[in-house]
Amino acid sequence: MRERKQLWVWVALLALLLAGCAAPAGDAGGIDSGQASAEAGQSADGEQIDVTLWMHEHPPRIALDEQLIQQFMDENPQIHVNYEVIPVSEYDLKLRTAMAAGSGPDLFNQWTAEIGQFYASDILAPLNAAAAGYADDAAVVANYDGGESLMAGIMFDDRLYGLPTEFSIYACYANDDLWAEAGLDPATDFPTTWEGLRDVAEQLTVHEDDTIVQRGFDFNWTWPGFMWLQFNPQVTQLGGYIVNDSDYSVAVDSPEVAQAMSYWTNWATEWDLGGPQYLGSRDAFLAGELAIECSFGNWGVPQMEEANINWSVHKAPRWEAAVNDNYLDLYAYYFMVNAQSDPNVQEAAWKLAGYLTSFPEEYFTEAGLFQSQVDFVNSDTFKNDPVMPIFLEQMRTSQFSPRIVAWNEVAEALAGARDRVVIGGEDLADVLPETDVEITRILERALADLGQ
Amino acid sequence: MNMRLRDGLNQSILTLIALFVAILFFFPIFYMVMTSFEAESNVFSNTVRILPQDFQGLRNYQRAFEIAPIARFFFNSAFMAVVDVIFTVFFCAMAGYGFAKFKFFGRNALFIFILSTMMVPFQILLIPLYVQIQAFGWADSYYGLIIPGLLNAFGVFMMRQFCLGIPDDLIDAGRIDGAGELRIFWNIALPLLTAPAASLAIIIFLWSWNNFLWPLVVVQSQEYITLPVGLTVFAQGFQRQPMWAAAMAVSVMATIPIMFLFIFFQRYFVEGMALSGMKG
Amino acid sequence: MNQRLIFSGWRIKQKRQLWGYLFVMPAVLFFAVFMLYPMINGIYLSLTTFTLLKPPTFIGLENFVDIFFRDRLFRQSVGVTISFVLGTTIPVWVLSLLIALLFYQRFPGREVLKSLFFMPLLPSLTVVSIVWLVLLNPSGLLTNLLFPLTGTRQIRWLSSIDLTPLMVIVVNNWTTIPFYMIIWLAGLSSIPPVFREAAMVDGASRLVSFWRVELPLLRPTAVLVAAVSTITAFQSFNIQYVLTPNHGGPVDSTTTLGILIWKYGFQFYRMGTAAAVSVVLFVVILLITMLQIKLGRSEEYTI
Repeated sequence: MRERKQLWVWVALLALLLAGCAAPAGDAGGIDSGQASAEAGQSADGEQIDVTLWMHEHPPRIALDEQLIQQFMDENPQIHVNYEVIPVSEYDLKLRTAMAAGSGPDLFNQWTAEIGQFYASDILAPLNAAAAGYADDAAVVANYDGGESLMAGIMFDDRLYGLPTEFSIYACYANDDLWAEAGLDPATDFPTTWEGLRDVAEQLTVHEDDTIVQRGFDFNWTWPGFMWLQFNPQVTQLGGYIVNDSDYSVAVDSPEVAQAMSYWTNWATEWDLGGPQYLGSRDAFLAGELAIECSFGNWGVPQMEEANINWSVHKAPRWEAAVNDNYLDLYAYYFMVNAQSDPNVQEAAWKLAGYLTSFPEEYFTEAGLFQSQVDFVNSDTFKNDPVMPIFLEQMRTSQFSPRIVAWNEVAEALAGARDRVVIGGEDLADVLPETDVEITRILERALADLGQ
Repeated sequence: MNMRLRDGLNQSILTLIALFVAILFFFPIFYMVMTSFEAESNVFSNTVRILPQDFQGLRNYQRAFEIAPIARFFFNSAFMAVVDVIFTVFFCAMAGYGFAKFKFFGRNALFIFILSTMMVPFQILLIPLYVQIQAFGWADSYYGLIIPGLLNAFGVFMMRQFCLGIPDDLIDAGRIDGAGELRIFWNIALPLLTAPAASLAIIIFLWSWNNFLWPLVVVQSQEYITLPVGLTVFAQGFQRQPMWAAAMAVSVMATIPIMFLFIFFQRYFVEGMALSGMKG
Repeated sequence: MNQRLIFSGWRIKQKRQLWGYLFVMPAVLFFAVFMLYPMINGIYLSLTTFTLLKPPTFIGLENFVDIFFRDRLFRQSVGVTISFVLGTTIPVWVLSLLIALLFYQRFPGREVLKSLFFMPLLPSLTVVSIVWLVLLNPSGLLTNLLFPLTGTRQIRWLSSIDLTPLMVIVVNNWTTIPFYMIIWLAGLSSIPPVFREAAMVDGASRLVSFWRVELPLLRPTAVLVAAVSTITAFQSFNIQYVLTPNHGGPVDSTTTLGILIWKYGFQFYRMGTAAAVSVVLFVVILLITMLQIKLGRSEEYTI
């Protein structure tokens, strides 16, 4: 008899366990139930709309975001915003995993490197200009200084898919003290060509015995993505390209790529001016061991101030034989809306995005983020800024790196090719054709994977 | 006499060698603790610095709490570890007992099935498991964080080994006395399993406390982030300077609970490790 | 009478069976739901193309053909993994045995020194990696300590393709040697002293007695240490993820298979390929485990 009783206890326990495993979404919310049940209750009324917004962590902007979101919710009581800040190092991973599981945010901030993949995967909703407070897409473009080139980063087939939260481009910073030690003045001597950069860098390089203790200039070798942001524009200046993002043609085995690539590899080998074996260029510049650095945006200034670097900012060099007048490549962050979200949620998300992108001055002064709204560019804040006019001038004639699928993988292939020559000592003439084939294959597969 | 002298000499040499080995292995830990008291600007320099030159007291620790909700990370890690330990020990003991002391159809097949899950690289499970947790509605919650780690194949295996050592006579005696199976398990088997259960508990605590990949993926909100994941934020330096001294302070705090376990339960600790053949 | 007895015997047996099921059922269900099911899904994913942002589509064995015949990164990663496995398993096996033998001796201060030696196994791999990030910084302690010897501060511990893989191995071995030493020590103390004494009486020297008597008795432990360290080395992920630039850099010189799976799955939007690599890794681990069972013949592994 007792055994039977025990049996029942076990059966009940098992049933509980099973129920626990199979519990649907709503039931599982014991711990975070407050929110979950509130959501369920309100959406049933058909009034409250919940918008989840994901933002990568940029500490100076958080307070401003929170304040503006609160204002937005006060003005739009039917919309509730869940604002989630995610550390930069985990942001891409989390966004991808969440999208894979169909649980991505409704509105998210993401940069141009990811946009090609997102667009090709049909997860981006086209901009709802009316909801964001504009007459149409053209009005949005007109609202931004340099809108034609800057909004090209989020345009596909003449349609916009987002609103910018930050435009950025790298410029070259000089460590004025190191220049002075070499008897040079950045204000007059800063090179305008890559050829000239080599001469200046040679004068700024300091040897101690056999080792270099101070470099004049060095590329940023640390992350393959810089092959897009630093290397690609060099190729474009010469009239060539790596990948064309409209027809996906690949031109790695070309004289333009060869010229840029030999410049990089000579830099590290023949000319012995730097290379991947040294401390990364940003860290080296902040440590006062590098006289010129070209992978900081305007956001680098506070770090330089903190490191007590006496800096000045200059436009990036071009080739003597340049045929295009672009500087380094542009990149930008945009608010984008998840095409999988409910239509009314999407509309609310665009409304929120339109609202949050109408405070360029606040975001610039408090968080150093540049949005190029015409009104703001004409304001005194912008005009009197010590660096921004130089950045904007560069932006107006520069291009975005191709917004292709497999952006990261192609960057790795490029960096791999570079390192085969620089570190492995292989012949550029062998490496480039092979890399051309490799990148072509990467793109073909990536497109095939997406059913295109 | 001569012999004794030689022994003494030998022993001193052994002590010296052991001292060298111990210092070699202990030093980075010591350095971690020292650096946690150092001023941020002194962490890297061009001089050999071991003891803090600009002693900060607990300021780095304080700063860590200001930068990130460390207390919350701590609670999450501890909560997850404790729940994992309780469930793992109980259910693994139960399963181990079942596999060791009952004959039923398919027993070996089921046991091999559980054992084989030990060989699966976690990366293969990551996405499918995440999708599944998402479907259950458990993503970004304690449920998603904790439930997939509640049981452990190694635990089942270990408990079965120890249950095999329980004499059948003892169990039969219980049955003859009219005790139910559950009572036999609870009153006879479990008390005999205390030592291995303690070892298992410590191992599971360690694994859970140190778990990195799954919490990294499954949780978004700060309220559910665990220590190992929260820690990496201090060392990342994208568009912002990493904070090494504070990172060392958090590292020390993350290691203290394990240190306590080690000091107070060294025997079980060592046994658990020796049995599991795996570090966290 | 007889029949009833048989019947009740059968009933007891049946009841026992039922109890057996009930005891193991929670665990079995758990592993079915949280291991088997996702694993089957994972294997299925290896037969698909899955870009994360779109639902997977079935493509048969193409991913496997791809990684074995066309994939430069996979080949490179296999090389990286094998050198990591060799660099961790063999030195760890030898050093942890030697240190275990050291601490198996009697000498003053043994317990204290042993406890200090154990310390590296306490912090998590994340903490370990971050501590070493500080030690191995270009302006960190190691550079400064070695400066009088090397005369240079330009040692890129973690940003050169030659040195970084070595440093990953050093850090890994630092935290795992104490751990395997515990296993050896457990094995050593399970050898009844009689054996050694017998050998000593025969006049064998300490070394010979160890080689001829103790080591053969330690065979299960030896195989266990070799197998477990090999398996964990093949799956290695955590240290590389935190310690190296760009998770597996520079230039993929520390991209082990564990990192490669991560990279394909989460950075390159190639979850299908990632799953295929995981399946390959699973098979390798399966083979090692089978080898271990065969070589070890330890009682623990008989079912």
